Amino acid sequence: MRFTLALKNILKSKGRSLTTLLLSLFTTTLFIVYVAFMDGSHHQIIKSSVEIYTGYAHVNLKGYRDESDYGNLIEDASSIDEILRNDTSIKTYAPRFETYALLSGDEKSVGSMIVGIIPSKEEKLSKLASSLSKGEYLNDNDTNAIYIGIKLAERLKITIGSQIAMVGSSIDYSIAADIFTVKGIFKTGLFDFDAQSAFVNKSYLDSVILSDNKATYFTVDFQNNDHINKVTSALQAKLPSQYEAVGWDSLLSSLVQAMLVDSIFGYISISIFFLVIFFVVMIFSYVNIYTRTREIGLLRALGLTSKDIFIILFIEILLLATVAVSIGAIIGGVIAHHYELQPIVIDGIAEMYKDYGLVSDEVPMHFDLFTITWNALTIFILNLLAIVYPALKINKLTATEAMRYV
Amino acid sequence: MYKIAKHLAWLSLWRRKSRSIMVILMIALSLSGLLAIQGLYDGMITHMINTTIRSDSGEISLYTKEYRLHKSLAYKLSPVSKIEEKLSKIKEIISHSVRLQQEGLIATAHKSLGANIKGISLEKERDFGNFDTFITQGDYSFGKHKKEALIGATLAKKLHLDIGSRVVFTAQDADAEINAISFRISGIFKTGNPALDEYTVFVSMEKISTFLNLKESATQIALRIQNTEQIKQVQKKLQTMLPELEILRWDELYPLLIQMQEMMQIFNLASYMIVFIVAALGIFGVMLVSVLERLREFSIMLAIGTPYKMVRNQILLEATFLGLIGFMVGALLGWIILLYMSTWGVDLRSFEAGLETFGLNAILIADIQYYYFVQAFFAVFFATLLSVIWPLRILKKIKAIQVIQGKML
Amino acid sequence: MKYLFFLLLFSLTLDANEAQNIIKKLEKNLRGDYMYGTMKMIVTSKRGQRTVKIESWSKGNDKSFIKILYPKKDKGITFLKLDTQMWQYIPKIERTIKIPSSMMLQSWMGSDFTNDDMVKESSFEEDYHTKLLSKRGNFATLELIPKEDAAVVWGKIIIDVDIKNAAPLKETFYDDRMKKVRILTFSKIEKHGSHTIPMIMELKPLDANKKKNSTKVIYEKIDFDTHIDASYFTKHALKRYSR
Repeated sequence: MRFTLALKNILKSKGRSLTTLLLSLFTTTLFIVYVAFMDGSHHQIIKSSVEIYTGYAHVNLKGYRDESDYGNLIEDASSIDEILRNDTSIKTYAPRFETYALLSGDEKSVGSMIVGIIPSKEEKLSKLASSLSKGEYLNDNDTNAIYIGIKLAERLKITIGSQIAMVGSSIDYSIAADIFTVKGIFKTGLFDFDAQSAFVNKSYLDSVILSDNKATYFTVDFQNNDHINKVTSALQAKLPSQYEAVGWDSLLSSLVQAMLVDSIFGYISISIFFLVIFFVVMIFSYVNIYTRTREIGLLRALGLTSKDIFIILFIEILLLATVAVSIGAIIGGVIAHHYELQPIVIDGIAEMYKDYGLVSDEVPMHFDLFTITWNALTIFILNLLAIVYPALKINKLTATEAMRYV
Repeated sequence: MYKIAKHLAWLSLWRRKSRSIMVILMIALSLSGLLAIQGLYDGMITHMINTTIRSDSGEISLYTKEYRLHKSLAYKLSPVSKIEEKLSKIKEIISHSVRLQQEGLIATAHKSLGANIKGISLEKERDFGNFDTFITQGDYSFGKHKKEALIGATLAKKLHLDIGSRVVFTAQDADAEINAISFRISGIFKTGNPALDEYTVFVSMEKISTFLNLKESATQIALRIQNTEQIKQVQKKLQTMLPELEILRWDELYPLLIQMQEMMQIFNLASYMIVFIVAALGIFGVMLVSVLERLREFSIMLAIGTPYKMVRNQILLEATFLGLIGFMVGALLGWIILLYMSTWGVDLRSFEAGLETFGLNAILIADIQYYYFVQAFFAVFFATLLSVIWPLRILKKIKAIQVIQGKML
Repeated sequence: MKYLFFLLLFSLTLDANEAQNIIKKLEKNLRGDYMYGTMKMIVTSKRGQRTVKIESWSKGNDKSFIKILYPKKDKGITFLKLDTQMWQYIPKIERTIKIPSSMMLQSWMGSDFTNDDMVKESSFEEDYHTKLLSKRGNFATLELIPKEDAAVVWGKIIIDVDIKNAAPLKETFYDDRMKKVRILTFSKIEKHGSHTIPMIMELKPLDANKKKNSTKVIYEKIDFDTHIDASYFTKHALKRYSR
């Protein structure tokens, strides 16, 4: 009886119901889109930082993070390679061999990081290839070719075609030396990275420093990098115990901290949004209920208890909120999904922030069912809570008072 | 006539008390929240900019043109006194600090790490930016014989150093000879600038000059300028006076800070917009209903010859009162929160690790600016205006007689 | 009382003098005006063991020339150190490279010695206050505390000395907090011409993460008494004596 009455009420006053419906719908959509945009821009920042070079996760020997020397190498890279190859959660991966060596141009010598990479794989894993500024990127058949940072080139006073000598240490600690020809110069915009890193085809570097089948670490790109802790621990379980899988959140801890601070502010703002949404919904329910004071008085006079009234009002809002929030969530979700696939393009933003490694004008939204669900539920609960005060307030009036109410 | 409208608006506002209070509360609470977050954000950024200026860049820094790329003593500023003489002619410069820096290796018995050694004058740094306030452990002193050093907190942690620990610094001097010098740690500092906290050891200018075999030389001269507005002008003046040098403002040296400030402003604006669009919906709801339920009343007023203008004014005033009271309560509340946060700060100890990267203390101190309130006023004002547009249109369209006869209800 | 104090002071200075003399003799014995030698260095680390053979020529403290004889891959690589600067010649790439200070201070060819040990001429006599801790017959134990200005990282060094041969037996290095950091032991003391020196030297670091490491140096030939041609201490020597 109470349910039919509630339903009748909704249908009878179409305008009023529609207003409530639209309000909830609008706030739900707005909220979902806002969160999707915030998460999306976070993802974008992470993505550009992570994808320049570091990668989403590393697999390395335990202890390598503290002491990155030859004492902590992956000695049998092919066994790790096999594990990674058979892991379906991994999209791409590649071994790297990072070492520190002396690079010497005609005039100057500079200590720098030299990394052995597989050029074709690295092209998919990092922004190295696309950061090309002069000359050419490496290919898998290159031998004595070196790909160096623009600031490093400046420090060494060299350019494309110049020869530079590398003197470092082989993994048996004998001296490794070779002459390389500069094939390409890259610019990522990260000053330190551009000033002290150089890349060489791994298969060739392996012959120089005797690192065949060895790597300092593997860099891994998962099919889905969203829940990095989950995927890295899943990967961890497949690795022999002396190895560890480390997510980007540990690799780039300062970035994570920056995001954390940003999130603190994000959540403060979200709670302000909640507050205002809560009030708006409450005001609308209040107004809604009060315009019906007379009608409610009549019901009371007909013998319904204040509890009945409360339940009727509650069922009404429950029905309206369910419909509104579901539609709002769908619209919000569709928008988020759409702009995730076709990101909003802010012209010039990449150019402006190129120095910080932002490489794209696109700011995609982040579509995530879980986030959308909790967003929608929050609005839904806010809706229900918002009716409590007005409903209680109206129930305080006696039937006659209510009927006289203008 | 206007007075009557005002009076009527005021009265009708309080006829529906709980409704008005709800709107006022909504405006007030969201406004104070927005003010608080804005103050906190600004406080954070200002703090970062301030510490950077105080601990390193000043408002303006001088280098030789090649120095920042090569970081070599070959590109030193010399003679310092000549440059200082020129600087003394610019009265906008209130203080300056001369620093001499070299890259090298810092070693303990267990470990050695790459680091920078920087010669400074403690007194000058204190005048320049109260560097002594960055000391977290030990003293702001190089000891009696200038044989002590201040070290960055992160570097100290990596090398497991305490006050009194001994370190040896090895570096190439100006003649490319490798020399070593030992210091005891007298103080540990934390500025929040990673270049300083992670890589730098401060020693006395005299000591490092002899160590590097240099006289009258510096790698950087940082300047403090009295007023923000004068910075660009002083920079131009310096560029013509010292054309052979690179003269950079703090925002050119640390563009990331400016970028953050811009981002935060955009973020603030966006928050304001979203909150007040939603808030406008709330006010709209109340105004719409209060117009609808008094349609008969208004119709009668119009029928007996009250000008539409007066009715309109009454409604406008009602909304304005709501907005104004909301604004005043919110501004007052926001101001109290900001005042609290700017004197006592906000304890964010649980996020300390995150804040450290930004060079912030666990206690975040908020900023208070007048423009926050101006901005907030306009936000409320527009939200209020926005919310009455539709109710007024309804009012304009009514046919008084029909309403009185009850046909439109 | 006064007398006793005086006596105590006197005995202390006597000790200090005696310790100083021992150190002086030690350093004189271990360093000659010229030194030529070949040696084998066995480096043990987590990754296993490797052996390097080198031939070295030096004059005083400031000039030295080193050539690698083994492993085959490194054969012919030469190093020249003049005062505090260092060059390296690598036959494979036919280049002479000046080693910048930042690189000079890294671990030397994977050993537990750092280039610092090789480059920096910290002298026991100049950089430390010496104290005699005990003396029994020909054996003495000395304590070396660095002078305030000395650029050394150690908190103290305890040295066991064979006084008769003016040769060290064991050196224990402590850090600032007087915790042991590494131990250097010497053995097989032999007389070669005018000097009596230990032919075997083993360095053992004590840091937790270096537990498995050690570096052993075995002299095969050593000669302090033959003049070394000045041509060894020029940059031309790097290439010329590489073969």
